[in-house]
Amino acid sequence: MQQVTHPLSHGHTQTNKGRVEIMRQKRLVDFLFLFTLFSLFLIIPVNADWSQIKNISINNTQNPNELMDFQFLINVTKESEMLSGFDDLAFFWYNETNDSETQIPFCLGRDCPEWMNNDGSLTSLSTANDSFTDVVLNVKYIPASNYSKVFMKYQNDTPMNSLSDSEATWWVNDEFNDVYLNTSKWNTSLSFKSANGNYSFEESGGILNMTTWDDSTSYSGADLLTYESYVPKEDPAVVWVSMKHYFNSPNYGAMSYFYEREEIQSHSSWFARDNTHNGNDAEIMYKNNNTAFSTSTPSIIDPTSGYYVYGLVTDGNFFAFYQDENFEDNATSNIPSDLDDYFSKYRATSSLSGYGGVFRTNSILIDYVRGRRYSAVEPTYLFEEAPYISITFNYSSVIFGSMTQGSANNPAQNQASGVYNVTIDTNINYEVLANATDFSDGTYTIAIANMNMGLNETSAGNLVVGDSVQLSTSPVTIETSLSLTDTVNYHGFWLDVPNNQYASSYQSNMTVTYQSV
Amino acid sequence: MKKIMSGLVLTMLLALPVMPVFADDVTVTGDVDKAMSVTFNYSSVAFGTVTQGTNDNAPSPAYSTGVYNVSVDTNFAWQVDVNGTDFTDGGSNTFGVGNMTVDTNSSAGSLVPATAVTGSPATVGSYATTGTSLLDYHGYLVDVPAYQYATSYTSTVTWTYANQ
Repeated sequence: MQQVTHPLSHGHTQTNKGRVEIMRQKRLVDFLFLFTLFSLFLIIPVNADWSQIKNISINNTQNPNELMDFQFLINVTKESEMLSGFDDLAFFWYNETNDSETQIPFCLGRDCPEWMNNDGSLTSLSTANDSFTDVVLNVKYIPASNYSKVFMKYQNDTPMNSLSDSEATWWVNDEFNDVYLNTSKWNTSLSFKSANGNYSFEESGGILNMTTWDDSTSYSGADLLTYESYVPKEDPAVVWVSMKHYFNSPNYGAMSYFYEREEIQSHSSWFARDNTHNGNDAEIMYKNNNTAFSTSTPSIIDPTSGYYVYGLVTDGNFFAFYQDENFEDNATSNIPSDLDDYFSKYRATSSLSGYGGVFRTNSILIDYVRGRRYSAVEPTYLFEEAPYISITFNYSSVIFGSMTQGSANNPAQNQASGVYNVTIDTNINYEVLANATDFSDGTYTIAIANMNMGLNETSAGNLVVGDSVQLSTSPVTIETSLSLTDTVNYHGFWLDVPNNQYASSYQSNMTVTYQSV
Repeated sequence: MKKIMSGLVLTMLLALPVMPVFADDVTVTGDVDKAMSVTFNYSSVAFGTVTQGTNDNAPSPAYSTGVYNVSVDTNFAWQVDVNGTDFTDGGSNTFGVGNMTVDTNSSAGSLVPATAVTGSPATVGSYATTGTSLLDYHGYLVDVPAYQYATSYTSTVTWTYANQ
């Protein structure tokens, strides 16, 4: 869980190649420096103790579908106990089935700059150190038509690095800040009809450069880059993916075909695959600086301009960039009729206006890829006050006084007058349990099973042995489902003295436990 | 009264965020009274005909048979005291109760009557054993002074059982 998120930004907008290269080099220097810096930070032990907590109640009651490893956006207001920059935040998913909690990944707004809204729009995320932060959670499980609970913990007295981790949070995420393409995430493959074809993947300065070259006029390409080992297989209809993408074709034009579906048009910036698009297909769409798509003609993309490419590319099993296997090197008229077979291709072709020559080299530069799971019905959330229960015991001992051996149901002294009472301050419903040791005088004992405890939330006068519970050395429930409005409890105790119990003074140590239900 | 500061409680609870729990320890005390119940299984001891000037005359039937016993129920250590009145024929003839010696034992076969009875209670035995139906056996012997007037004599012996 403890990872240091790479601090590099990802905001390439430069489209001039020379400027891009300079920027890459500068970033590389920054990276090396910061890598060293963070290596020093990593030796600091991470403390797992947080002294403050807030409950986040996630309401999925309007959604008939369960959600797993679900990206969920919240906004956190800065509390005085929080470290600057929210560096001490941690989140834990509460598992109701076994009453346990699991630490979950999250990403502060400063590390996850964009959120993909359900309507296709983008929201910029941010972290304002002294006021609030957007946080993307990766919630392990949210049951259908029900609630889930996440604990937000903070105030860690031990210095710690922020646990914000974009790569662990998103469904897919690669900021391409590695020196080499991360092959634990990506598979690479390409086949060419031409023996002279080849490809390369270079990752530098936060940019992935996927380059293919071939001197033939046609080739057959398979998957160019697939993102699979990192991603669980699931229905792609439930995810959003965004990426920032550039073409770089230094000598020739680049062209893309696109297949625009009606559902794509309904989104201004984002692409969502829908289930009606069946088959082992893949899709991608290019969008030239947010201008509208043409639905009838291929787009000719100026390789000197930057383009945002939005797409979800999947065959249902993995996320991928594809080269179309039916790629041909000339003529826009060769747009395949079966558009389901491919989603994109890029090429240089002599038939494109202004760019002569044969296919040589093309590059796709990818700045980042991010994806989140999607739900048509988004859960809502609410910060709840942390549950608390504070009990004031108005007695510290129970005295039975003198009893006769062989007597039953001896009440504790003065219990009818209410001396054994507690006051409760809580915001939760609660239950009461008790356990006690056997009575003993040091030599002789009276089994604790001879003692009963009762409870009444209205009056000590209502305490009757018939409603009491036999005690044990293990906790037994005295009363359950007490309301948070029951602010006073009267306790009653009864003791049986066995026949011929040795005459002596006996003592038992009892523990009364109040806890939420 | 035990007042727990709510701030402290909250701090504890927040370290255990799943469900808040509060527990307090209470001392419970009770005193069991001493109790004893004794059932005498005989009401008289007959020495029968004895000869003046003889010692250690045993009753009939003999105490070693265990017929002179009491049943004791008790929940605490206990002791047995005994005292008696002088033997008298109801008229002017008497002899001192000190001529009678007694003993108590949980085994009839172990009785050795050696404690002379007096007019004031004297402890004959002490026992730590508690329980029910504890049998305590009594043994009696009597000395008859020389030339003690021949007649029938009676003495009243009081056994007192008490918890220590």
